[in-house]
Amino acid sequence: MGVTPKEKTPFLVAPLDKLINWARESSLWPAQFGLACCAIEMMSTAASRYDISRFGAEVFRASPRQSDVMIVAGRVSQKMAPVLKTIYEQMLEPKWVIAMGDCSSSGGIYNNYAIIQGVDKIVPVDVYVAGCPPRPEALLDGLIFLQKKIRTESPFAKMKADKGFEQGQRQDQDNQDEEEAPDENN
Amino acid sequence: MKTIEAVQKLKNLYKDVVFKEVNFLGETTLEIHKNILKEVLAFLKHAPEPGFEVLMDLTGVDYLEPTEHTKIVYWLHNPVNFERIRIIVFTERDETVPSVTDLWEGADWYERELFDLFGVRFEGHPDLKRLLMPDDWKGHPLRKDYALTEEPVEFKHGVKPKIPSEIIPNVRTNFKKA
Amino acid sequence: MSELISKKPNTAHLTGDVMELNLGPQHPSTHGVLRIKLRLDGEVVLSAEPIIGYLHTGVEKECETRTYHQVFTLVDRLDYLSGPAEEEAFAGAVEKLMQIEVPERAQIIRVLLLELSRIASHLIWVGTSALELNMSSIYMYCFSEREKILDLFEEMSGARMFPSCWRIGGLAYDLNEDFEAHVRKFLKDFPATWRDLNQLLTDNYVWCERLQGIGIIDQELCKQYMCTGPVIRGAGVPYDIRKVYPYLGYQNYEFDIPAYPEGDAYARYLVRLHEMNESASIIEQALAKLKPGPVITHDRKVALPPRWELARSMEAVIHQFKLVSEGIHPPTGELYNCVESARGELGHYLVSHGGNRPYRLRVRSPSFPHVEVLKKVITGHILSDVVVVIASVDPILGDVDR
Repeated sequence: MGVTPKEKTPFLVAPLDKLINWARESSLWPAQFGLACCAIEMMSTAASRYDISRFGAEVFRASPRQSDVMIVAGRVSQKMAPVLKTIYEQMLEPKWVIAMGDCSSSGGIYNNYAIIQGVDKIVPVDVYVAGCPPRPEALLDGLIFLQKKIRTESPFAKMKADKGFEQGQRQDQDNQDEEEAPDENN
Repeated sequence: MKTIEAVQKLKNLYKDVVFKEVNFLGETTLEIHKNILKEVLAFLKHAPEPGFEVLMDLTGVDYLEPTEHTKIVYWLHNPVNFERIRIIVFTERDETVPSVTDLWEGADWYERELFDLFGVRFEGHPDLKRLLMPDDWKGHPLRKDYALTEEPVEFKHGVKPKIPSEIIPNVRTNFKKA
Repeated sequence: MSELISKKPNTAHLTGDVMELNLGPQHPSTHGVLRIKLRLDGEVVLSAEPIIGYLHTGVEKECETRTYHQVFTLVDRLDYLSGPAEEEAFAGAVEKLMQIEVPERAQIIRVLLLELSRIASHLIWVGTSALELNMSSIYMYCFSEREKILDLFEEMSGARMFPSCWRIGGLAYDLNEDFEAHVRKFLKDFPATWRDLNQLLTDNYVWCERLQGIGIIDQELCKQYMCTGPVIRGAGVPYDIRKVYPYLGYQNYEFDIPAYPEGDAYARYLVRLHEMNESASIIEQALAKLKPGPVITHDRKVALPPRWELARSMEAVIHQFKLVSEGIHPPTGELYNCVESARGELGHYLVSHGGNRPYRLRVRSPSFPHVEVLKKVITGHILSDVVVVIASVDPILGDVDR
């Protein structure tokens, strides 16, 4: 981490970026968003054999306002998509999303009218964990990967990137309106 | 009372109506017209002799030939001697079927599911609205003319993959009866 | 999309002190995405309307576009806590339709896996129900016991939760040599955990106060709402598909059906607790009956030939080719096959038109009427008992929404 102690002074000095990142990655509290079978493996990860609280995810908060990471575990259906978006928006910055399992990463084994083909169509995803359902060790691997990602990113640039996603969405909507107008003229 | 005796009793009661009865692998299926549906079900439920007091399942099957129609299936269960009987009714696309919620309260959600997925309307249902799909969904998914709506998987380098449900194509052999 | 947060609910229709509260689709009870619209007067529930559909997957429509062997993985994930029961219901339906004889060793192994998954499902139920009443150490005990069962599944098939080793006509592969020893070790350690759970919960003052007299579902309500499984056994009726319509040779096993007449959440808890014991005894009997033999039928129109036969016989190659590229072709007909899953009567209604795909597969899920009966049972309770009622009925929303 590059901590430099000054001689004979009871202070530790470190870059601010690294301290903020260390604080963020070491206590990522997940928001409970267990939907289907992957939720059971998420519960297994929180149980005593594959303890997820060793890695900082001490409690699974029920309220999105008190959590940092949303683990979307399970298949997202058409009726659930607006709920997912609302919960994501209710989370406070900084926030991350782990798409656990095949169904939330890409639609999984279901390719039909009822399932959203990948949760990244609605919320920005940071880590995809594959598996049907992924083993608890795979979810832990995903969490560690997310921690590594947080360690290397600049905390101030992340906020700009998230705003960019929202603006990008709004820009796409504006572009769609512009594209439709010439068709009407033709 | 055994299913066979119940069917015989029904035939004696409704002499002028033609029942179609099928016995396949130990299960009795009775096809009736929806005009007498409620009376037949009430008879099977209440009269102490048949005693089919529990409606285990209420579902539908959709057909496109010869016309677009739906088959509604009632699967009745006798909790005393554990006999079961299946009653089927056919209905066309825009016709309604009498609701059985006054006989079995639990049929409420089953009929709502039938309306949601097949588009069958039930008269006498307290609150017929969608159950599984979002409230503003258009179309009835389990009808045979509703597409599966598969999203094509994107491949690079100009590769065009097959549609997932067509990878093993639908093969119809001759209609072999068991 | 952010307008969703600022929408205020329309409260014009509420009069007096009635508050409308959404026990929303995302809530800390781990029973899945169930939404209940409650109308409360203070803490007392005046009316409850369960709203489902948040996990609708379109499995029934998807099964119409898949061959019979591909349906196993789809149908597995419906009731995701007792995947083996779903597979058995479907495989049993097709085997009845095609009148295929399953070899005896396969039947015994299927019974073994079914009962193991029943114990696992009940352990999750006890663990999560205790967690909702804030007894989190019981959650840890139950899940660590369940890990041993998942280790057995992984040894059998490689997958923890969904051992998709059912095939039409038997099983995909045989047990390896250590499996029986590991099952016996599990059976030796399980009674200690069961005794722990019994001592911790059954006479626990807090547990009894919270569960007794809550959520009474009596026999009449069960008949109106077609409830089965622990719900009807908690109402005093010893109705179990394994005794009434035996399948897989269950008539040759000796086991009791626990039934308690009170009909409240405590009775349902006792039913599930004692069912775990009965399942353990069935597993022991199954192990005693296990004899060497084939695990899949010899009928080559249905089951893949073994690999060594492909090198020697042309018909085997043709059968393999036909089975893999097309699948099996059951005769025309419709059939209902039911199985006792951990939640109740799980039925598969299969309509076949003679092709290599099912024409219609309908899953009669046990939790669907149980969630429907909640609208009658929750009224009159206070808000903190609503969680207990929902937990005691044990809904799995994957099965309800399909």
